[in-house]
Amino acid sequence: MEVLGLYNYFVFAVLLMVGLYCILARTNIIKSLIGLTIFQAAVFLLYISMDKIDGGTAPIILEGVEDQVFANPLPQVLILTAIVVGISTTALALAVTVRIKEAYGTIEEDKIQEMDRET
Amino acid sequence: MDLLLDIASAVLLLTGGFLVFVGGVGVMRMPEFFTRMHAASVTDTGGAALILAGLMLQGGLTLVPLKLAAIFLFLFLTSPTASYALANAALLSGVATACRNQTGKQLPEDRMDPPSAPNSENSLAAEAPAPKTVARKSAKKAAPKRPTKKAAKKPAKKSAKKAARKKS
Amino acid sequence: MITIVFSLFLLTMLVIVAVAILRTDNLFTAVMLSGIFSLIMAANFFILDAADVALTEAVIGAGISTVLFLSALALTAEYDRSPPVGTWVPLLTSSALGGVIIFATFQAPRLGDPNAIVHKHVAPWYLERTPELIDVPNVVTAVLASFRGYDTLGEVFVVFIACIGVMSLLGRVRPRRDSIEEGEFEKRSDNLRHHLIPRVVGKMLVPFIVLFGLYVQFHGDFGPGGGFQAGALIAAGVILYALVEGGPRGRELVPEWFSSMLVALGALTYTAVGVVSMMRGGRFLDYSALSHDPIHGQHMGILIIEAGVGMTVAGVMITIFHAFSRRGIR
Repeated sequence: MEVLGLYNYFVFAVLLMVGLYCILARTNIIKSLIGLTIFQAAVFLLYISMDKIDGGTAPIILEGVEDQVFANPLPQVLILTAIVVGISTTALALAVTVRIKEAYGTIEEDKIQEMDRET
Repeated sequence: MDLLLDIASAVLLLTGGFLVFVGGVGVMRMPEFFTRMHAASVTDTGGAALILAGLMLQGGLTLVPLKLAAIFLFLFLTSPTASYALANAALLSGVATACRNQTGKQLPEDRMDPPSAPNSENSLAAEAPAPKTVARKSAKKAAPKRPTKKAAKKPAKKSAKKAARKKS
Repeated sequence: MITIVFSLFLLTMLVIVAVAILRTDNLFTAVMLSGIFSLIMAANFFILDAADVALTEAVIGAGISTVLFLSALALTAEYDRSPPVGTWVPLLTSSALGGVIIFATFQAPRLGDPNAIVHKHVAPWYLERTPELIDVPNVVTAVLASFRGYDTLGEVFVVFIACIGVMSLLGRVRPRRDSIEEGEFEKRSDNLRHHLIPRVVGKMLVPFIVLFGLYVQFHGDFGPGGGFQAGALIAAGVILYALVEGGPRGRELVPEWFSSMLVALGALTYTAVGVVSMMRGGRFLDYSALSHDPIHGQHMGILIIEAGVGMTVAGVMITIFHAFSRRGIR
């Protein structure tokens, strides 16, 4: 039971590993960006795991219902905005990728470096 | 009365769950793409409808059944559309069917990934697209040219790209 | 108990999908799998009692993010051609990171522990004081819009700047329409005109998606929702229309000048609320000064700034999508 309570953190660690491996091992820029979104999602999972409280519900206070336990609203607020910011920055990265493709004709990092060395 | 409702909703939920399970098994076990889609559609139609009906009975006389009905309507519109788009795309890009498998020699290569061990992944990945290209080419020969632009443009472009890649 | 079972199942699915994304070399497959990943993540957030976040992740992660990745793929490449060399260093690095984190988690409080430090800090104060200070049922909205309004203002401006970045990288390149004949232009555009069923159903769904977006926007004080989710939903509706009818038609529905104006107008509305509350004798973004009754002022302030956030987010998403889709038909 004690270990099950830490399962979220284990999944967080594994997702971080997968994301980081994807960023480092793949030279394709779009694949690296997908790895980055996995990495990001792992951090979101960590924060949202923190807000859970035993017997709690979503933090919406209903009139006339007493003795409710609410989940922690603060991590939710942080992640809510972080998701939107994350997609905007990912879109920016994708825009840069598109420009790289137009300039170099490829989105493989090693080929781009080769081209840079040649010139 | 409550007991009756509970039993009815339990029966509906269990039947729906069973259909979803059957759909899942079908997707795993069916031989090729179109029969797999057929199996998956069991989940979309029967499974979803029965589970939503069972939940509606649990909701009682509140707004909940209405919302569930809206969800059902949404699924009723979108899932056949998605199936249509999927089947259409598969047909146009030339996924091999079982019939063709019996007459022709090509094995259906419609899996997403080649099965490979994690450490030899990259070496296999380089070889992977080759059989797909062959399957697509043979399908293109077999099927008459479609009037849509996707059929005219997409496979041609892809095979051309692959040919270029092979040369290099 | 049943939530734990669900949670374990979904978390395991997350890991499986992530590994599948890592292993495939087809970028199209990877993008579709990352959409599935986001949907599972949204279900997970819902189980963890974060309804607002689940809604956001479902709309943005599974919807808009997938579309943006696909439109970038259409402009770049379909296959990942990473060379097979040099996989040892990344493997070692990521294993080291994972090992350290797993080692550290044994010190962490278990999931749902009521005595964890996060539950003892400011959160009880927010939950306790929200009914008397702000009086909206959804505490997440209250914290987002009022208690931590500065934070949200900053986030809105980050989104705004990202949009400017995308526009300056991809925008304002005129499609060479004059050199291509009209019919050719229509043929080359990226629509589904020849696919009747997706087109009809897609167009039928657009008004309902936008309506739901508006509901989420203005119901955000009472239930899960708010400006971020609503903006993304409305943008998703417009993007669906553009996907079904082709980029040019999408740009006719919501012209680029309009979407980029929405971006600026939303950020401006948000800041203006702050300035007005200063002029009425309060502090920056202190909504209580907006009206004679502080609680009424809070309600008004939250409504207006949520509208501003919604405008900015919707505008940003639509503008970014337009920038990508227009790049494709040069």
